[in-house]
This record gives sequence, structure tokens and C-alpha cells, in this order.
Amino acid sequence: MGQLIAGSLRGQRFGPQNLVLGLAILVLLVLVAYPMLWLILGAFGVPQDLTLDNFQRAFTRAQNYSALANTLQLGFGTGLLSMAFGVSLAWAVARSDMPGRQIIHLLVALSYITPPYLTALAYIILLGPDAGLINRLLRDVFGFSLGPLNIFSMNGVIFVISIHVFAFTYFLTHSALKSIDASLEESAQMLGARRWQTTLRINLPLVAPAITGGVLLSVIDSLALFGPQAIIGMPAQIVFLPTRIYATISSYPPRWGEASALSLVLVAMTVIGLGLQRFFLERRSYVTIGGKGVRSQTIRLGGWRWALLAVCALVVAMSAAAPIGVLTLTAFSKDWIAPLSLSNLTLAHFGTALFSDQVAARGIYNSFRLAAGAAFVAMAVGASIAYLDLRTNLRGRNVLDYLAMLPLGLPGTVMAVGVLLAFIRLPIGVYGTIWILLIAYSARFIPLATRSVSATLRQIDASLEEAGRITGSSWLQSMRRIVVPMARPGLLVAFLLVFIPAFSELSATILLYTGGTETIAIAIYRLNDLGQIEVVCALAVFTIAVVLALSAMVHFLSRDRTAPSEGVG
Amino acid sequence: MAFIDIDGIGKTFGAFQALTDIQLSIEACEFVTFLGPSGCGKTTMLRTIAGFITPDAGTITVEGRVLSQPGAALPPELRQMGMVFQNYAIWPHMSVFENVAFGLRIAHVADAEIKSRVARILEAVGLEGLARRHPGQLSGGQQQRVALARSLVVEPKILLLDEPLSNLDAKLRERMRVELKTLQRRTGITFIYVTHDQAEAMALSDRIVVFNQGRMQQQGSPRDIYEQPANLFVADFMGLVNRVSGEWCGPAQVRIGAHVLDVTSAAAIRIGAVTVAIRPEALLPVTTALEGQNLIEGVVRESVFLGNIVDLCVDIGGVELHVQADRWCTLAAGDPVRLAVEPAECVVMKNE
Amino acid sequence: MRITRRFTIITATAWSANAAIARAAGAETGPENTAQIDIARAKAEGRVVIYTSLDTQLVDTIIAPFRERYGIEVTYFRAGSAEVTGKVLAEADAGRSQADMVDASDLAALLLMKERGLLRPFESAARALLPASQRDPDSTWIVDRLTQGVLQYNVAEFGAAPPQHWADLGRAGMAGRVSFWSASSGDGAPRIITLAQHLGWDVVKSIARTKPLRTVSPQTMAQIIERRERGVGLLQNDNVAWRSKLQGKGTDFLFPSEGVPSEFGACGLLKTSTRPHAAALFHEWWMSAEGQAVLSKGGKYSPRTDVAPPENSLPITKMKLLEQDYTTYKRDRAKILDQMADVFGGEWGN
Ligand SMILES: Nc1ncnc2c1ncn2[C@@H]1O[C@H](COP(=O)(O)OP(=O)(O)O)[C@@H](O)[C@H]1O
Ligand SMILES: [Mg+2]
Repeated sequence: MGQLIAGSLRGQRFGPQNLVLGLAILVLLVLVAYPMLWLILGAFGVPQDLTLDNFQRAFTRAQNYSALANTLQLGFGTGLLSMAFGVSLAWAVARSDMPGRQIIHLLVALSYITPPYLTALAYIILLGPDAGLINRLLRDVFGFSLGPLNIFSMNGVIFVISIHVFAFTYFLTHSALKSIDASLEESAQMLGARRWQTTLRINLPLVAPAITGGVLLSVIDSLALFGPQAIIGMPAQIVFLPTRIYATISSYPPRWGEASALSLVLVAMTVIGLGLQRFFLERRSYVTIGGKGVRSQTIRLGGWRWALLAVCALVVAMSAAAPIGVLTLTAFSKDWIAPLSLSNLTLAHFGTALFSDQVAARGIYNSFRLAAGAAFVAMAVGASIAYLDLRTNLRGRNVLDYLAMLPLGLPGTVMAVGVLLAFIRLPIGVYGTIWILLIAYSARFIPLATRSVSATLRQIDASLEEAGRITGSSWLQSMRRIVVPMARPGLLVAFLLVFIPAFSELSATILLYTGGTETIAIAIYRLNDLGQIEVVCALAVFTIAVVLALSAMVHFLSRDRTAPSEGVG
Repeated sequence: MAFIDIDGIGKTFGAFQALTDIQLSIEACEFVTFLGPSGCGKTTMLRTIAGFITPDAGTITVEGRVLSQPGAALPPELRQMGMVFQNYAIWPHMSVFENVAFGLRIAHVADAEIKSRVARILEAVGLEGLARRHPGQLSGGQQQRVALARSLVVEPKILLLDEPLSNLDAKLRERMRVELKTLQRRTGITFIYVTHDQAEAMALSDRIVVFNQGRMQQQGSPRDIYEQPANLFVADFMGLVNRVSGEWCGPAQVRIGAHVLDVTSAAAIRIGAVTVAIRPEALLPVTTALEGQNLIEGVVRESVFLGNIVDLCVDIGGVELHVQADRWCTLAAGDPVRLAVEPAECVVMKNE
Repeated sequence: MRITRRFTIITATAWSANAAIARAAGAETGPENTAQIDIARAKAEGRVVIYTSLDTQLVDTIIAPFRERYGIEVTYFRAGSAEVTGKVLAEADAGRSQADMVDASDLAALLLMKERGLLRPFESAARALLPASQRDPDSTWIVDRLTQGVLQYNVAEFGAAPPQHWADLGRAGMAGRVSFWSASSGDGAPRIITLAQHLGWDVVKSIARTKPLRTVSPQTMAQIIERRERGVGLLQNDNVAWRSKLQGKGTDFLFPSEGVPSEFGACGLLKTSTRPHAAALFHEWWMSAEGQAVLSKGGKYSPRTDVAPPENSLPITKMKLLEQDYTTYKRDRAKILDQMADVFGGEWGN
């Protein structure tokens, strides 16, 4: 029996693979687990004392109680509205012969990528009860004496949030409808079922899990949207959990314990929602019968297709065209109250927003570097976690995977409270610098990166990497020369998927920024507080342009993505 | 000590025992095939040899160096082996040339030498002129050759092949078989080959190792394995076989119904119920038996002409035997028949 | 905007005359008065961080000449008064104070910070020019601006007959026409409570019954009135109303004869500051006649008697002011915010 080459065998334990992946695990723990731990500790009053008072306050104080009730009501309302908008549009686009389906589809995507607090700002201009442009128009046309619509109401908040979050319902329903093979319907029809019977008895049960899953996703997202809840909810005098948490901390003296307890309540709501959503989407699996080669029946509507188009056009006009239009118009107007005319046009607000206003200019710079930094960190951690999950047999890797998905259930406000509690006391200088924002963003968006890289890695067979190893390259060389080059488009997509929401992040930033670390969202939020609506709109248009361009890039890259792995089995 | 010593290898995945006590020695320049049904652990064994899997028990020693032991394994890149994967694993982002040159670049071979060695190996596998192509532009057979070239160019001492031909169509598979065999003879590299196709294993191998449910069943030359299967599984897996229940009734004799057959024994069985395995082509319809042959009388139940052979079903008194006669056989259903069979062809095994 | 020669000369003289004393006296704790400011050390400190509730446009205008003159960077965190205060307190609790100087339009907040021992005494050169009520006897804070809560209205809505008194806003006809402001942290509360204390809760409650539209800041309230979303604004910042009128946005404002709440904005230096000289130097620029003139140009009233009121504005002495009871507000803030939530509804950070 020969001798064991102990050196190279022992070297494995501290080899580059374990070093890289170990580092990623450490980062994940620091970014996600550590703040969550503090959130829980904070709710029990640590470090000052150890008490259950905060939970008692969270449930018994009228303010907290009504915030909870309002949040539930909001979730319920957005659920209903998302279902109405999402399902009908999805059906029209996926199954009918309505004209302009492509455009409707794109406009839904546009309403999704537009930061919802911008939509909220736009709707103050559009639907203010007395001065709102749409209200004025309605009064001129129909002769109402007041209103008639009031954005500053619970219905207003539900509406503004729904026209953003209904996209989840739309996309899930759309893909489910697209994946039902026509043969399923045809066989029903062969058995004598009428069109409506087929729809009700065959299609609906098949897509119901997707609809439920999509609606739940819409609801979960709506609970967390601090921006519109604050921008519309404040004037409406309606308080939701995220705005309540924010006020609890931003008033003086700040009440951390109460904020933490409220945060846990909010987390419980979203986590329950996500659990349900998973449950429904898992049941969906029987719908996706193969991916390709699915032939779907198009339903001919005759003259009705124009009526359907009118309905769909109205929805996307409300969700995308009108808000973006009015923001753009205001951004280019000298006087935003004055009627539209050539002489009222100006580029000056863009000059102010992009160059001369200090907070705005700093915000743009910070947003770019934070988004890039967070995208990089999230991509690196996400890639490592996905790799660990798919390519190693490390014990506890599913716990890591779960941890990497956990932030999905953490609204930005909650994440911020956790990060604040966790890092404000650390002796390392993170609090009050741009690093704390980087931490919060990376943590928040790690799930997006992990999912995306995981999908990419699944397409790259493990044998490609192993072929590199057996041909003599070390793990690091195989990564650098085989896996990373092959995954590059996928990694770029993951990077962009984080960059886009990080670029316009508001709900966590509002609690974490300080002088010098303002972001573009903060500039928008704060300048809006200061009444500089034209500059705000210029910033809004800039933001939308950036996220739109990057989203187009994602779309482009994702379409090309299958190309390199073709012919690889 | 052999070139490769596999000593008591075991591996579990969770609660699942994928390999149990694998004991095997392989000589230099040998062509060894791991044969067995899907899921029996062939790939796991191969990947353990390659260093992708660390065994839970046992050691793997190559030329006296321990490469794997429980809890520790020399990483694959340091083992100087080559491997051809079932899906070829050609890197799609590199040209044929770059794919093949990869190992040489990693080893910091000079550019000029890389060029000449890659050119030589591409010629050897019949890919001259395709160096510039990208994998997407190659047929399955060509990709297969790239994979071979890529693993051979670094001149490994051992080449591991995991069902390399299973994705090719039948014609191409035949041709590649011949080429692989020639290549192995010419290069003198030790081949360890994995397949579930027993014809392929027999055509290629110096030695076949049969696996089932993570255990080694038998090893030996193709002929040994075919003619002297160690157990029913091997007998079954290697080709068609009649499994006849009988009872041990004396030194090297088994009673089957009214017949008593002279047999050879695969195991030390001296008593009780046993199974006799007889290949259909070993049963010869005759008029008289030769000296020492068993003679069995029966009635033809069915006769099917298949071109190169005639397939008979013969009833020998409650037991049906499957017989492959040559194509000149004219027996028809209902005809009486006498079957001759060598005792060596009647392999007795324990019942399972 | 340039730093005038006068300010330069004062500080330069102070510096040359007292450099030696300053080095001896202010070495550990930082300068205790203008004379002890060491400009060289201030420059070496290189940076000042201020937390302020002042409009960023004004802050930018005040900072620019200072930065140019001394090469000292000024970074600021700007939010509503209550938020600024909350941040100072939170950081102090965690032992990670970031700010060198704090300014909030809420004297009660500075009183609280003083009580918690967060502020460092510093005798500003401006002290002599301020009435005693507007500076801390212990020199930890000093009033840096006065904001009056005025009645702002849309001219097109009311023409020549705008509501003249606070009580008018609670009349039946005003339903759906009034607006008021407070961020979710409750920073609009002090002046409302002042109004209630001087004119009685009935007035405030009757206004609340008109379902006034809530906005988050004076500036957003001005927008609402300019657009005629609402016709009249309760307790608008005088400077915001002044600017809106000046810019011809179709609004005007008036000082009801029963009086307007006057709110003291104040600033102070933080004990934990690691840049005491730069901070004091900036504090003195902020409080100097030149610095305060920037405020006045932006429509704010300076507490300094030698700084003119904003253009076309009443001198403060000609107004009937309703004084705010800062000590009570500091003590009863939580209770008062509860009251606000009861009367108006919505979020007050209580
Ligand atoms: N990494 C793994 N984790 C769990 N089970 C595995 C793993 N690799 C292989 N197995 C299981 O081990 C058994 C043997 O697999 P394998 O060696 O691939 O069989 P084959 O003989 O077809 O090549 C199979 O049942 C397979 O499911
Ligand atoms: Mg296999």
C-alpha cells in the first residue's frame, strides 16, 4: 500500500473553493441573518431591557392597531383589483384576437418597472380631488360640481398600488394561459362543451393556481410599498404598517422596540403570504406541459375585440401612459400649473436635477454606485449560494438557500430597521456611511440574484466544469475559464435584475441615509417635501429612462440566453 | 501490486448505499468495462476514480500512490487522468481548437507545441480541418471525437469513459467502437469504460466488471462472463437465458422434471432447489447426442423464422425452453424434438 | 454670494489675537467662544456635518461661500425638525453621533438635547444681538430663525375677501377648503398647540371638522394652495407664503390680528463632535450677519436685531405674536401628539 499524499489532500479544506464559498456564506449571514436576529432582539427591548411591552403596544395601541387593520384592508383591496386587472388583461393578450396585444403587454411591463412612488406622485397631479387634471376634465365634460374622484382615500391608495402590483397577477396568469395546449380545450369541445363551458370548466381550474399565486404576490408586494403608502396615505390620513414603523422611528425620541415589534408583525404577514403563494404555485406544475410546442387556441371576438381593447387600453393608460406622461410633461414645463403650450416648455429642470441641485446630483451619483455595488455583491453571493446548492453536497446548503430567499419576505422598511439595529452599535464605521445602504440593498436583493444565477447554472451541465477539472485545471481555473464565461450573460442579467430595483430603492433608504448618502429616490422624496415638483419630475423621468433602458437590456439578454448552451445536452 | 488498486470502496448518498465494497485491480494498458443496468453505480465508481467523489470506505491506489481514501481525495486535476463524458461536455464558448488545447494551456505548454500537438490529435481522431469550428456546428459524432481528442491530448495514463457512445446512432456507434478499440491499442492508455450495453462491453473489453445495485457481481473476460455467469443476474444481463428450476441430485447433476442433467456449478452448492441457466443457442436440436452431452426430449410449441436463426419454444414436460436453432431448422409446432446440450453450458446457481 | 470682508476681518482678528489662548483653552473640549476658534485647526478638521430642518436651497446658499472661503466641506442631512431630532437622539443612544451641529425649527427639541447632555456650550458672538429669551443662559443653544405661522390663501378663490381670522377657517363654508401640514413625525404640532393654547381648542377643533387636507410640509401645502386643490392654508411658514407670493403663484397671505404663533428655530454644537473648530467656525458663519442675511433673502426672519426682515415684510415687532411654551411642549410632547391624532386623525409619530 502506497503513501497518502497528505499535503494535497489536506490542502482541500482551505482551498480556494472553500475560501470563496465560505466567504459568501459569511457575507450572507452578516447581511441577512444578523440584522434579522437584531430585529427579533429589538422587539424584546434589547439592549436596554428584556420585555414583552413592545408586542403589547403593537397590538393594543390604537395607532398600531389601525395601521394593522388598514394594511390588511389594503392587501385585500389590491388583491381584488389586481385580479380584475391582471386576469382580464392576461386573458385578452394571451387568448383573444384583440388588436395591439404586444403593446398592451409592453405597457404592463412598463407599469411594473416604474417605481411606484413615482406613480403616486403623478396621481396627486392627476387625481387630486379639486385640482387633479382628470378631475378637472371630468368636471368640464360631465358638469360635476366637485371631485368626482379623490386620490386621497383608502380607495385611492389601493388604486395607485394596484396599478403597479397587478403586473404580478398579469404575468403569472398570462404564462399559465399560454401554456395550456389547445388540445385540452379541443377535447372538451369535442365532447360538446361550449366555449364558455370550456373556459369555466377547463381553463379556469387549470390557471386558478397561477392566478391565486399571482394575486398573493401582488398583495405581498403591496403591503411593503412604503412610497405610495406615504405619498398618498399621509394626505389621506391613513396609516399603514410600513409608514407607521417609519414614523415610530423618525419621531423623537425614536421608539425602536415598538418599531421592531411592528416589523415582526409585518414580516409575519408577508411570510404567511409567501408560504401560501408557494403552495399555490407548486400546484401549478401540472399546467406547464412541456415548454415548447404548446399551441394555444385564439378566441375570435369579432366586433367585441375593439371593446376589449378599449378596456385594456384604459387600464394601461392608467397604469403607465398617464402617470409617465404627466411626469414627463411637468418635467418639461416652466410652470406646471399653466396649460400646455410651446412657450411653456423648458429643459431647465433637467439642468437643475442633474447638475445644479446638490442633493439631486449627489443622489444620482450615489444611486449609480450603490446599485452597481449592491448588484455586484448580490450577484456574487447569489452565485455562490446557487453554486453551493446545485453543485456541492455541503450539509445545510438548503438552509443557506432558504436564508438567501428570506429577504423576499422582508419589506424594505423592515430590512432597514434590522440593519439599523444591527449596525448602529458596531464599532466598525458602517452606520452613517454609504456602506449601510450597500448592506441593506445587497441583503434585500440577494434573492433576485440567487434565483437568476440558479436558473443560469442549471443550464450549464456540471460535466462542463468537471471536464475542466479532469483536464488539469484547478477549481478556480475551471470557474474562471469555463463556468463564468459560459454564465456571463446570465450573470449580467442577475446583475441588472438587482441594479434596477436598487437604483430607485426608497423604503429602506429613507431610514438609512444621511447627509451625503442621499440617493435619487431620497432626492425625489425630499425635494417633493420641499415643493420642488418640477425638479422632482425631471428626476423621475431620468429614473424611469434608466430603469427602462436597463430592463430592455435584460429582455434582450434573456432572449439570447439559451443560445450558448445549445447542443450541450 | 497492480497498476490501479480499488480496495473496498463504499459510498452512500444520504441513506442510499450507492457502492458497496468494490474490490478490483486493473493492469496497465488494460481495457476494463464497468457494465450494469442504469442506476447500479457505474458512474459513481468512475467518478470516484476520477476524484469527483470522495469514498466513504476503501482506498484507490494508482502506481502505489493512494489517491482516494475516506474523507480525502486528491483533486481530479492532479490525477493525470482523462475523462469522456456521456454528454461530451464540449465547452460551447470555445472553438474545437481551444477545447482541445485547454489542458495544454493549463499546463503552460508553449504555443508552438500546443499547435502541433492539437493538430496531431485532431488528425488522429479524424477531425482535421475542423479546428476553427464551434461546438454548435458539429454533429454528435464529431463532438464525441472532440471530447476524445481533448482528453487524449494531455497524454493521460488513464482514460475514463462514461457511456461515450450512448448518444450516437447505431451505425456510428459501431464505427466508433472499432476506432476506440484501435485507439486504445495504439496509445496503450488504460481505459476504464462504462456502459449498460453488454454487446458494446464484449466488443471492446479485455475485462468486464458487472455491477448491480452498487455491488460487483463478477469480473472476467467477455467469454468467461458470458459462458460462466456467476449468478442469475449476470446470466440474465449478458444475454438471453433459460432459467430452469431443478433440484440437486448428486455430484454435478440436477433433476428437472423427468430429466436429469449433467451440469457445472458456479457455486459450491450441494443440496436443495437450484436454478440452471442455459443459453438458447447452446440447445441444439439433434437426432442423437454426442458422448457426454445431455439429451432432452420435448415437443415444439412454437417456431418463428427470424432470418439468421429460427426461434423455437420447446416444452420439455411442464417447462418451456427457448431455443435458437440455425436457419436450416424446419421443425414446426407439434413436432417432437431432441435437444443436446453440453454440461458446461448448464450453469447451476443458487435460487434467489 | 460672497463672504463679506467684515466677517473675514472679525474672524481673522479673533484668530490672530487668540490663537495662543485657543490652543491652550480649547485643546480638548473645543472652543468655548468665537475668540477661541482656531482656523488652522478648523481647516485641518476639514469638514462639518450639520443636521438641519432648513430648506435645502437655503442651506446650499449659506454653505457655498463658507466652503469657498475656508475650503472646509459642509455636508448636511436635511429632514423635518422631528426627524432631525430623532436622528440625533438615536445616534446618541447608540454612541455613534455623526453630526457636529444641529439646527431644528423646534426649540423644544434642543431643550431635550440639552437635557440629555448632548450639546456643548459655546458663546456665539451673536449672543449680544439677541433677546435673552432667544439664547440659552448656558450657551448650549441659540435661536437662529423665527418662523411665523401665517394664513395663506389662493387669490383666485377668495379675491379681495379672504378669511381674516383663524376662527374663520372653521366656518361651515370652509369644509373641504382648508389645508394644514405636519410630517408623520409630528413636526406640525407645536404651532397648532400654540394656537390652541392662545385661542382655545374650539377654534382648532372647528377647523379639524372641515376635514382639512393634510400635507407633509409647508412647501407641499403651498403647492396645494397654488393649484387650488385647497383654498387656504393653516399656519403656513411665513417664508414659504412669502416666496409663493413673490413668484406670482397666485397666492397671498395675512397675519390674523389675534396673533400668529412664532416658532423659534435654534441651533447648537454637539459634544461628541470630532471637529469642534470647524463646527464652531461654521456656527459663527451661520449666525453671522452675512449668514443670517441669506436667510432673510430667502424670506426668513433672523433673530438678530441688525438683520433686516425679508423684503417687503413687516418687521417682527409690528406683529402680534403668539408665544410658544417650549418647556411644556418638551415635557408633554407625547400627550400633545396623542391629542393631535385624536383631533385630526392620521399619523403624528405618537
Ligand atoms: N450525488 C448523488 N446524490 C444522491 N444520489 C446519487 C448521487 N449520484 C448518484 N446517485 C444515485 O446513485 C445511484 C447510482 O448512480 P450512478 O452511479 O449514476 O448509476 P449508473 O450506473 O447509471 O451510472 C443512482 O440511484 C443515483 O440516483
Ligand atoms: Mg451513468
